Parts: sequence; C-alpha cells; structure tokens
Amino acid sequence: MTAVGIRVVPPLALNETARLLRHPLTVLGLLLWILRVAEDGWAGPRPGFTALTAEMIIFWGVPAFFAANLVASAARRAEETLSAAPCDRSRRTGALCLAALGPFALSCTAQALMAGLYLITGNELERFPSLAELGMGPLNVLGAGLLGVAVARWLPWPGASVLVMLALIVGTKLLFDQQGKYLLALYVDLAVWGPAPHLDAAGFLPGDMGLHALYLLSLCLGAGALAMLKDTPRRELWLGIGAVIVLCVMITGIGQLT
Amino acid sequence: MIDTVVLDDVTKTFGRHRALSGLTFTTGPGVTGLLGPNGAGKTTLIRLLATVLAADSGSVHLLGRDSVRDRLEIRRRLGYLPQDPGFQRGFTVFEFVDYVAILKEMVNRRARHDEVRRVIGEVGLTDVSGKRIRTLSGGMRRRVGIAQALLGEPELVLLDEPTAGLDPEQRLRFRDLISRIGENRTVLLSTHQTEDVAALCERIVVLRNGASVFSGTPEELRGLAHGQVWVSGERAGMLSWRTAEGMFRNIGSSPPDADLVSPTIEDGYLLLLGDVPSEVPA
Repeated sequence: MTAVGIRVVPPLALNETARLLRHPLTVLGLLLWILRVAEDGWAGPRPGFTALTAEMIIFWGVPAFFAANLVASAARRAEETLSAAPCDRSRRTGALCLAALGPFALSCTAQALMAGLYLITGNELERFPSLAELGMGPLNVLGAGLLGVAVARWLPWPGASVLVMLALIVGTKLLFDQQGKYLLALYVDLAVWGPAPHLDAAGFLPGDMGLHALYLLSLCLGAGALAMLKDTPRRELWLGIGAVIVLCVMITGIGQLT
Repeated sequence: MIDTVVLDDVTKTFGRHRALSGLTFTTGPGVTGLLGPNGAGKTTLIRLLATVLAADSGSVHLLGRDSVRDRLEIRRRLGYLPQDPGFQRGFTVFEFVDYVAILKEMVNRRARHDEVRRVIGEVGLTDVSGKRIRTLSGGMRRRVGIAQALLGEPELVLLDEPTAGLDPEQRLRFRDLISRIGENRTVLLSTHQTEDVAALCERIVVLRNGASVFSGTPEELRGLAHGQVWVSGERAGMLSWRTAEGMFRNIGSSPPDADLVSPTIEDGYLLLLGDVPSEVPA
C-alpha cells in the first residue's frame, strides 16, 4: 500500500462517519434511547440502573446495526464506477470500520452526559454502575456498526441484515434460557428484577464486568476483522488477527462467567 | 503520435462466450470511437481498459504501463464512465462526486472541493449540485457520471455510451466538452451514435464478435461506402429507407442509372457489418 493510498483512509473515514451520524436510523436510535431513558431513568432504583446500563444496547444498538449496514451497502449500485478508482475496496471497508467509531463516540458522550445527569439530580439507584458497566451500551453500539459493515460485505443481499439480527435475537434468547451464561449474550440486564412493580433489584448477575467489557470489545474487533477479511489482499494477516481475536473472545467469555 | 493504448492479441471469455477474440489495436491522444453491434465486445473492452477486468491472454499497455502490473498507477491517471454507472442514490450530486474524488486520492479537502465544483460546472450541473441524485432525470444522472470521470484531469478517459439518455442540447454540450478534453488527452468513446463519432472522433475502431474489423479515420470508414449509396424512386440494395423527400436511400451495389450520393459514416459502418462482405473494399 502506497503512502498516498494510506492517506486516503482518514478523509474517507470522516466522510463515512458523517454519513453514518446523519443516517436517519442513527438519529432514530439516539431518540429512542433518550425517550426510553426519560421514561425509565428516574422511575426507581432498578429501572434507573437498567436505563443507564442496558437500554442503549437494544434501543440504539439495533438501529446502529442497520444504519451501518445500509451505509456500507449504499455503494453497491456504484461498484462498477468505484472499482476503477485507485482506492480499492479493502481500504473502503477499512474506512467504514473506522466510521463506526463515530456513533461509538456519540454514544460514549451520551452515556457520560446521562451518568452526569444522574449524579447531579441525585437519582436513586441500586448502586452507581462501574465504568465497565457504563461501557456496555457504547461497546454494543460500536459492535453493531462493525457487524453491520461485515454483513454488508459478506452477505450483500436484501434482507440478509434482518436475518442476521433475528439470529442474534434468537441466540440471545437461548443464552438467557441457560442459567449462568447470561453474560455471553449481547444484551445483558445486570440488575435482577425483584417482585412487581420491579422498582427494586433482587441482586445483580454474577460475573466479572471488567472481563465482560473486554469480551464485548473482542467481539467488536472480531466483527471489524471479519469485515476486513472479505476484500483484503492480505488475507493471511487478517486471518491471523481473527484467530487472535477469537482466542480473546474465548478467554474473556469464559473468564467473565467465573 | 504516441500510442497511449496498445492492445495485442487480447482474449477475454465469460464461460463459453468469447467476448474478445485476439483483439489488436493501438490509439493515441485525441478521441477514438468504438463502434459495433450489441455483443461485439465494446463494453468488455472498455472494462478491460478501465482495469476492472483482466484479459485472459494477450497484453494491454495503457499510458506506457502494463495494465496488470501497473494497475494502480494507471487508475490514478484514468477516468471511467461505465455503461450503467449506478449511484448512491441518497447522495447529492456534490457528495457523490466528492466521494469519488476521495477514492481518486484527492486528500486535500479544499483542493478537492474546488475540483469537484469544477467538474460539476463542466457538465452544467452547478445549479443542482445540492440535489439528491435520485431526484434527477436520467440525462442529468449521466452527466453526474461524466463529471466523476473528469475528476483530476485524467490522461485517459473511457466513456461507455456517454450520450445514452441525453437530450439533443445535452449531447451538443457533451460533444463540446469531449472535443476539448480530447485536445490533449486520450478519450475512448464506446457508442452506437454514429453522429457523435462523426462529430468527435479522429479515429474509429469497429468491433464485431470481439475482434477489430476496422481501424482508421472517419473518412476511411465513410470511404468504404463510396459508390454504394444511391437514391431512387424504389426500394433496392442491401439496406433501404424512405427519406423525407419521398425517395429511397439505398445502400449496396447500385444500378447504372441510380443517383449516387455522398456516403456517411453510418453508411460505411452498415456496409462493413452488413451481409455483403464482397462489396466491401479490402
């Protein structure tokens, strides 16, 4: 890769970031999350904790996945034109992966603002979440973006992203049904719901939340490596990186449960 | 003349279909027209020159470089309008051309935006540069495609059916644009429009069944029909059609008492590809 070739990636990534942040589904995700937090965030110690840690995963993460998928797929119609440009598809994929950092940064900012608001208002919570617990939502938004790019690259057919999302939902449900393996799922509500009206928690899920954050981060990197693997001229390199990431996922995934 | 496009015995097959069959030709700066019936291999040839496809055998040298080994270097110096360009339809005109400009390694934002505005102005789309591509007419979209092909003043411009969908005024504007570009660069124009070829091209290559059956000047192509185009009161010849004056314009060997008329490029092209090869001069 030439020096000029590498220099293309940052402006291209900025361009893709702007498109991703302006995408209606990204905006919808942010709005849904705000509405959800506004409704639950101050409703009680348990709903407040859940709003701050878990609700970003579904209400922002799912639209972020589809937004990234659509942005990454948009160039499909223009592929013939773009394929004659010096910047090849692997660098375009790299730029899209970097662009997923845009919504991630936005979700981190939103999460930080929300946490600050909780502190300022003295909102009553079961306990204030740790940094790793606060990071669950933004890490899921990052992973959703990267997975959306990977799906656009590997399964470039209409409806494929919906099928992948359904598979994720089914997978999460299956893990929910297996005692003690909740943390392997992408969506995790750490506070165990107490008796109705569920305003107090009946404890918290056991597990190492630091390792859970690393587990989510490994999954994010895995999705990015998967996206890169499709068009890279350096397949062995990305296969090697992928193997290391799989190892990290396994170590952190098992480690977080004990 | 420096040969900027040199093809030697190039073959390309898709499954059992041989799209290019031992194609050999050279051309240089100026506008070269590629003519041929549907399925003659024009689009395959243009895609091959755009380095989007690789030849199965033979060699392709563009701008003095090998098209396989120096693909990246060639891509930096070419502009390409595919037959069916396709766009990110949610993009505005400016956004799309700017996106392609980034892919063409224009990393300086200000200089890039100046260049994007320049090419959009060249194709007369300045007024709609903020409009989404999906709201534009087919002709305007075509012009967006031409604009992106002109980014960075490429030395080799490949245009596949550039005038398809353009109205007469746009076509005239396009001719003006291409003739200006062709003054100091190499332009390859694949088209079915013989009027465009007659108006623009210094050289013509006619393809049939993936091979070159003619390579020469427009005058030489026109000359193929010399003495074989005539007007009469009745239909005759290999091809014949009624003119506005109520007479029949016939192409083919003429009877002794026919009124011979001056042939056009189209006449030469039709004779070249017609069913009377014995009447075509060697």
